[in-house]
Amino acid sequence: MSFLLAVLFLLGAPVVLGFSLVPRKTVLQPNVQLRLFQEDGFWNYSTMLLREDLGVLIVGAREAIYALDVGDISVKKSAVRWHVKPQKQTECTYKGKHMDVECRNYIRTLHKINATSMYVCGTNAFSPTCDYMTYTDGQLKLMQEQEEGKGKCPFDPFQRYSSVMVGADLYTATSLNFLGSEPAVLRSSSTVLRSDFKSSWLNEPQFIYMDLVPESEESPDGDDDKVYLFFSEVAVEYDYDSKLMVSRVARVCKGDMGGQRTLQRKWTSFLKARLDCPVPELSLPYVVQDVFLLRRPNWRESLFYAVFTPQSGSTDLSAVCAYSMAAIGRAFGGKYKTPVDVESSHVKWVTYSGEVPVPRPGACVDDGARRLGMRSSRNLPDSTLQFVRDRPLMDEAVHPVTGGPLLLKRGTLLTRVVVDSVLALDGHRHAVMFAATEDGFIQKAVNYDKEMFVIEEVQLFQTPEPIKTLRLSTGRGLLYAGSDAGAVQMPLSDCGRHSSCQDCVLARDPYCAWSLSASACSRAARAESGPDTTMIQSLRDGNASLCPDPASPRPEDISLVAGTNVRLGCRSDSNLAQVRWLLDGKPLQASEPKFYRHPDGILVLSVSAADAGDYACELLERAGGGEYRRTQAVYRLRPGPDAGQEPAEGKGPTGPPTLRPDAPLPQAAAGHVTALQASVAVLLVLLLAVLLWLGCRKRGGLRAWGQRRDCGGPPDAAAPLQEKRPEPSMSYNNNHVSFSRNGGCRVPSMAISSVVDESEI
Amino acid sequence: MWPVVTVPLPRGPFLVHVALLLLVGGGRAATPAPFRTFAPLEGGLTHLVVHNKTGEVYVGAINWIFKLSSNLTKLRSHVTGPVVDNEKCYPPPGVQSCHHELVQTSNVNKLLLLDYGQNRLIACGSTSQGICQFLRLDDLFKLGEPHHRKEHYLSSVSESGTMSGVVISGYTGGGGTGKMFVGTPIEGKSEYFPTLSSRKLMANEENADMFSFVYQDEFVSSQLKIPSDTLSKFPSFDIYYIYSFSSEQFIYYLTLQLDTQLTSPDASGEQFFTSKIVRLCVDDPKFYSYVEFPIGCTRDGVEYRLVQDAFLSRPGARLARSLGLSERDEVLFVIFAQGQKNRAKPPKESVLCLFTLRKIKQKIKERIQSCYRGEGKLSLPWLLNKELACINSPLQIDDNFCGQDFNQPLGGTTTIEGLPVFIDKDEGMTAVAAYDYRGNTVAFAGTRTGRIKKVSSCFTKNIITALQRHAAVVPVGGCVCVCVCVIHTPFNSTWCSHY
Repeated sequence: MSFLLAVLFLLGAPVVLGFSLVPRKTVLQPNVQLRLFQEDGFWNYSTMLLREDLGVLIVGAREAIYALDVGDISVKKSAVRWHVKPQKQTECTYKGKHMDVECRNYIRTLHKINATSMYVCGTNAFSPTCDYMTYTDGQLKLMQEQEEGKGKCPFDPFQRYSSVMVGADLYTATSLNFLGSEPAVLRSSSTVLRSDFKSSWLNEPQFIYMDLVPESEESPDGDDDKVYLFFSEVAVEYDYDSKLMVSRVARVCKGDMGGQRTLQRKWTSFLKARLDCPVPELSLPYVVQDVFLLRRPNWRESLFYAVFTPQSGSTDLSAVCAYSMAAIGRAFGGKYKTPVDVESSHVKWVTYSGEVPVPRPGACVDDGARRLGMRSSRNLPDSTLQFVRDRPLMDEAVHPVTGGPLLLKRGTLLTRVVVDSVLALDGHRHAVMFAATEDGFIQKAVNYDKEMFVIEEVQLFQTPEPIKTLRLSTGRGLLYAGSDAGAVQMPLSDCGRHSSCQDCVLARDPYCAWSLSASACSRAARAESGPDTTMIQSLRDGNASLCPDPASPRPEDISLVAGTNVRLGCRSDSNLAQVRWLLDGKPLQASEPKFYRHPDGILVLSVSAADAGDYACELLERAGGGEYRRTQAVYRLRPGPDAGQEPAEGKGPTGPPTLRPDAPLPQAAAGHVTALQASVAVLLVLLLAVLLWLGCRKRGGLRAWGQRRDCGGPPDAAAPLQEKRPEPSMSYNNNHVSFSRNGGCRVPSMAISSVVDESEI
Repeated sequence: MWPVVTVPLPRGPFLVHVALLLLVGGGRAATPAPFRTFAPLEGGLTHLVVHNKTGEVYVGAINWIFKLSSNLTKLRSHVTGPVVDNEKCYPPPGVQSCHHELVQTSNVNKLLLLDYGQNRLIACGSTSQGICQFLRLDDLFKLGEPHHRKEHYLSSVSESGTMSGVVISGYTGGGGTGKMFVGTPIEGKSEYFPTLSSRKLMANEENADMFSFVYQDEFVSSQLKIPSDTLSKFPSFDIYYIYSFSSEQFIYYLTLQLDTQLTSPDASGEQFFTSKIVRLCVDDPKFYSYVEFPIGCTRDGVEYRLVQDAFLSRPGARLARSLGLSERDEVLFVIFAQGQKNRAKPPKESVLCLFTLRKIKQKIKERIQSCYRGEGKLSLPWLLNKELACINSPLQIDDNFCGQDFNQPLGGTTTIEGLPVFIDKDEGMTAVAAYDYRGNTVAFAGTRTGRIKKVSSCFTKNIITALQRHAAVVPVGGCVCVCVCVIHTPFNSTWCSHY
């Protein structure tokens, strides 16, 4: 019994094993702060364009585009339908594609053109097509100027792809043909440029993200703006028996015009480097899944944040790494790799140590080149161009800031990330990461001096499903997430969730601070005049001793009825807090069979007069070297005045603290029986818990408190167990995305349900 | 095997391939012995075409183009070289200055095509990265030599007999725009030259659109490039276009290329070659109809896989009957050298084989149909560099199917085998022509030693031959027909092997 209890405690207690990061709070559905948009019969809300200038969030779904109120996306302002023409759909089925899956129009591209118009592309039954769209007088309208979308939008609705509009030029990284066998990075503009069709440039790539960095700003050597591309591809530089994926960052110059003879109409500035995100476990290189550019007014301080997941099946640990412009610049300014033939039939990529032509291969045309009379990439000499054509890979990898991940997560994999830079009360900026998961949660996390801290996890979708898109509105303090089932809006912070000063400070949320004047956790606003002494915030240390001494909760009186079980409620408001019970000031022994702990409190089994006393529930939370305790509840257990009287119902802070015995009567014998029944029930519960735990342990290692919902804890109705009903049919495309792996202990619903769903369609 | 008559010709480095075309085109010039010959001082004949109406003969040579009468009297000549050039200059020195040293360079005629629709000759040379001249058929007056655009340079490879083209003349009503299919080796310069393309032929030789791709958008065009990845793996990979023809709505090519399955990428290893038959639809500007099959011949367990020359012909009545064909069907005579090695110096063991277009078309159709049932892969490693699966589709594939943007380009996995007709183990057959003589199909095979083998059941006829140093009209002499009947299926007993 004591062993079982110990096991249970291990399960219940917030065990932080290495990098098994526990979110401090878990916010489950229903959640009044969220706003959901979905329309019956429409799926794949996976493309978003934030038009704060127009007050709308444009959402591209399957065969529909919506303009949603940017402040409340459950309010649909306008919508247009873009169906596939029957003839196109038939043609598509002739090509072996599924009528109701691939042969539909999935909106994949949405870009702003000017104040009222946008550019939109859809897969259009494997025949990508683009159009112009306006939003005027509250109405979305497609211009019906259908343009060829090849190269601007993928054929395959489920293939990863990226694009960015720079001025009037659309930069895309996608596959150019029906087969998906011709990947390219291209610019659709007056001078169409593309990557060479060569495996040393792109080797079965998965395109992830593209963005512009205005590097010409205040450049001392007249450098050009650059478009960065993040992707993964099959490695050429490792000796490995099977296909090994590596993550890459590549870049091209905005002013690239292609070569005159060599690299005609091709990039003369395409260089790529490996992206390194070293996780603290021995593993194959991690694979990039999403990137966010955290822009700073000075581009040199901008950072790329990237989500990484493991090479297929090696571990269940995902990570977020960040890369500085300086680190990226170092890799591209360093040595090149070159292919060499070694022995028979094998090419190895090694450091190039020969002479590097001038101007430097792959560099943008800058003042140095202009001094040599080369005003455009078309003037570059063949030696430079041939070099970069044959050696686009840099020797050095790009290493992350702080040398390792800023966030790690075990279990369900991360899929997307956005980052907000928040100015804290102390005048420092903190990057708050919002990382989405495969099962519809957002992990809100900060890295304080290499300490990963997950402020909270918020469940966005009731049914577990991968989040495919994230958009951030810093101005409105809102996060928008899209999945196959719908679009959800969530506030970046909900300070009111923290009920006490301690809770508020220990939350270490840069958005929140405890207001002494309002006696509430509220939005931290840095006053112009300087630090506000009436606001308490301690992000690095979570120093809750700054808080005024909390008033102890008013004790509640409970009369005990011998032989019954008494439930004393106490729910922790933090997954990181340890719950401790004191009886008359002395800690209750965990091993004592008298008490059964559960997430909502304790059960005092078969009480007798000897159990009378003052029971106090204390939360113990560590942060920044300090240990903070707060008393959540106090119960005064007293022998009842009349033995036949019904026990009084105590009202703890989180519900009825007492549990009625099955039969509220004849004491002694009956009481004994009840106690026995209760013991058996508890034992059964424990046994189940242990079995579950052992099962979990086998598959995913030891799980901490916060993730217990993944593993199944004691089947307590109040425990935040998640529903695990199979996915509805909308997730049929899960098996097309690269991250549909089961997290550790989850009911293997993903894979199975997607297979089942496919057959349903 | 078929009976054969060998015609001895004066020894010398003959280019009988050229000569044999005369056998058919100029066949009615039944001049008695001695041989009529045409022998330019500089020699170096490379190509020869015979006008289908006038019987006049156009001969391409190093630095010269000649027009001869059907009896090989020189009517006109036109100088094409030498020119100041360096093959390393790209674009050619006439377009942009070049830092390589320019020297007097011989211009080897590599392509000689009759454009009947515009009454002109297209003569492409080896200099200036392979630019072409348009010559009026009547007097070889130079109508133009476009060279300002990238599309005007076809390939600087100077080896003759490796480039091949077919002209599809334009309708008079269609503004005179015709097209030209051209296949060429590229010597590793896939960035500059497609290996196979279809080009516009404009009525006006100075039209800027001359030789531009029949279709070109940002992603698709009427061309096929050897992928960089193939060249990285096999730096010497190239495709040699030996023969081409159009039949019905298709263009066919017979090619020789490195066998990437047998050859190890190691540069020092032994190279193996394979012959392919390539087919495209004439009216498929996007080349979605591209199909290729290995082609060869096997006799007594010995494989002959190095195509030397081919000739498309109609079968005579007897041959048609024995093959179960109509006389309007077409047959293809192909000469292969033995084995798969030594493209440059093929072994002298060679075979003349017969293919029916009907069977070739059937094999190709079956392959497309099987791919459209989702069976197997696209199987074109040199072009795709990866395995792509065939996609199951409900589309009905008939004889006229010209491809979709999927299930293409498509490679055949089995070799299309021909019927061996005649084997020569001593002289090395290099060229072939055939024609129908009173219901009998007669094939002429030229050898490296400058002799002509006449292969048929029975005949008496004069033949004309052209040699590298001189062309000649040759009386054939007596035919000895000794039937040693060996029944070949599907040949019936009327077709025998003779010796």
